[in-house]
Amino acid sequence: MTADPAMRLRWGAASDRGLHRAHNEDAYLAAPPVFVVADGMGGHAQGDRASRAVIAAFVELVGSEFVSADRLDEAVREAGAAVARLASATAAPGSTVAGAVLARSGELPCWLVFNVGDSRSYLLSPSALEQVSVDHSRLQQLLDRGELAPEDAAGYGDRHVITNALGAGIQSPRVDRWLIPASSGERLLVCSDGLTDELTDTLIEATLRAEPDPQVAAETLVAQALDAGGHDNVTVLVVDAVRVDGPVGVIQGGDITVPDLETAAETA
Amino acid sequence: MTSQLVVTPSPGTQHGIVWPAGMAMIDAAVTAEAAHELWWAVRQNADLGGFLEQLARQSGNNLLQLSPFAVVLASGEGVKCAVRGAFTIRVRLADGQNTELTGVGASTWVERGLGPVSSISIGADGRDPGEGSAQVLLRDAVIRADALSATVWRAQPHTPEPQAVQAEPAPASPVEPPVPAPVDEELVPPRAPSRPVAGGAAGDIGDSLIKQEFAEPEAAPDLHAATTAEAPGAATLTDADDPAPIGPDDNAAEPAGERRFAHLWDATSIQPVESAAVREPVFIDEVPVPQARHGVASPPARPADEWDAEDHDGHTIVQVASPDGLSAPGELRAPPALETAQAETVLAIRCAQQHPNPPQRTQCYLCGAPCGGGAAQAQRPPLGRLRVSTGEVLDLSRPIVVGRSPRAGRAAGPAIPRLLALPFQHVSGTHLEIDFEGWNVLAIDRHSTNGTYLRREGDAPVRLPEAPTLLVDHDVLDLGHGVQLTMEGLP
Ligand SMILES: [Zn+2]
Repeated sequence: MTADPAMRLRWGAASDRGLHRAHNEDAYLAAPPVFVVADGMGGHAQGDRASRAVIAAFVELVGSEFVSADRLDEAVREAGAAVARLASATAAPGSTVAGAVLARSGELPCWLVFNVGDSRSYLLSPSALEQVSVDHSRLQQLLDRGELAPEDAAGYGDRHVITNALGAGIQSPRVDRWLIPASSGERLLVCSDGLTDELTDTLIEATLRAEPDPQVAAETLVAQALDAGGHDNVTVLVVDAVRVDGPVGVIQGGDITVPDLETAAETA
Repeated sequence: MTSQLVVTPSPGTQHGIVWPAGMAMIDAAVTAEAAHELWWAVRQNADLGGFLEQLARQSGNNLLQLSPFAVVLASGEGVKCAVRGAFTIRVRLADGQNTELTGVGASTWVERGLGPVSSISIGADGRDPGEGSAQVLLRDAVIRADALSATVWRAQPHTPEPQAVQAEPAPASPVEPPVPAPVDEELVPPRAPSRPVAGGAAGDIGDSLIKQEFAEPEAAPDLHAATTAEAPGAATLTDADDPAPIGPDDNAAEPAGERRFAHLWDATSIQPVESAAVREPVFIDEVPVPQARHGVASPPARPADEWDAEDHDGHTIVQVASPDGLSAPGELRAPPALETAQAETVLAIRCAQQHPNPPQRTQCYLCGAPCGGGAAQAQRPPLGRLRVSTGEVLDLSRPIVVGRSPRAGRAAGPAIPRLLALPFQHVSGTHLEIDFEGWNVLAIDRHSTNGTYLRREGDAPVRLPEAPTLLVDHDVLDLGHGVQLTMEGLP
């Protein structure tokens, strides 16, 4: 009667150490149903090790069809424990993690988007580029509390202070999650802050719209971030939901709801 | 302490837009009115993203159809530049280096952030403004020009608020008589002037250009100063001005036994949300890095390629089939919360069949057997079912988000809700939510366009508020046009 829930994906990935860093402390995994970026910190080679430990915890999910929320939580917990094991007497390396796994809610194919720290996920729909994740950063905290106006955020100098991470001496990291029905033609962007610190969201959106091939889009974004300054490691995953099959057609259209005067009349 | 620009124009045919914190050139094909709106918008909030958004409005928000432009904005100690099409931005940095940006060849545009700058010019079609340019200075104008040349000034940290002057948009053309330009009083000389700037006094202003002085924007917070007030103990290192790559000795100076590991981080530092969120790290001996299991240690050069092999056409396409173990909604347990890691419990009495029941019940809500005994904590059972007019039936075992394209977001709590998609145009994207508290089932309208009406036996329909409303057995949530959710088997 109805098609089994299924998604056809195309994706691309690119990463660069940047122009000012000795190491690439970013790591990523782009293999269905897992698309994850980790941005390590810790100096020396600690950051690399932390981000790789995070990614290693997600490798087990590769090859499954959909990931349950339980399995995702388990992978994040495992990643946190792996990073915590890297701590030494003088250093507690840490890592962000951000991305999405394919999930289903009932029969509905979904993106299960998650993050710890300030790496980000965006969804590009025909109408907009929407930042789904919310940074765990000092800057975001000031914005949330109304202590900093959104228009002043771009000039806020201290954007590298994060309030949450895997490892880094934090015992109960907060993991934020979003469950979003996937729809055909949608494009997911997962990136480290080396992209979003260098480029405006407007240029990121324009590039995602200009480059149909996800691998070319990912490479172009990384090249643009390097050209813009390349101060940090930069990692970009671009994932296209080429086709999404579900039992019921989810009607997209974001915030456009047909206003309905009849409802009130019927029920009054 | 943001830099300011003082601009000398070369008259021409393109649009030149100048404001205290930046300057831009826009393709001549853009209307004068649009150039004006752009100036007015950036004058209010001069940030590169804001400039681009305003520019995008001129092309119906089609980012791939933006007019050619070049823009330079003061940003902290340096500048942000962006250029699209046949404009060229030439920059002389404070350290004497020169750099150049053009939009030629980019399918979108080029952005670049630069450190302290001594002078900048923008030219159309490779034009370079020379010394022969008009001997005038602009700080706020919309003019026709082929090039703009700026010297960068740094404003003093504590500028007295200038007297407000009536702020009206400047006419683009024809040109108005000049107004004296008090460019000097709030400025200090540039760090490294590349060439002398013509005085800045009123007498130096030419007679063919617009010069208007406007009310300064609301006193801008001194962000640079504000960000130095970090909590003690969280050393904050930013890398923006790192002159050299991080070398192998970057933390050689770390004192032995120093536990404030934040010092070691070269790029990102961490500051806990609240002090309670971070504890003294547990220090253990160094352990080996876990090996990535499948050779997908990252970053793999091209992980996509590795997976190509398994697909049919060489492109990275994968077909995900229906899984077995995940399909029945009733089998999907709410995941344990990562923060609390404990299942939701309720105070319960038991029936003869050992079903947990609300303490006040005398008969089991599931089987009707008599209840009794002492109340004890128990894992909360499903609180009945939700029957959808489309035929679907969902267990009330975890929260449900209902809508045309429903989303469960950050605020939805530790358990991942079930999404119920209702493909009807009059249903909002995220329309309403069903949640639990103890033994209670609650409904919350999520600011839906057309509302949710609660029909309860014997009562007139009530529009559901955006605050949680307690539901009872047989309640019907009516979304209009026959789309209804019926509560069944509630305790
Ligand atoms: Zn019973």
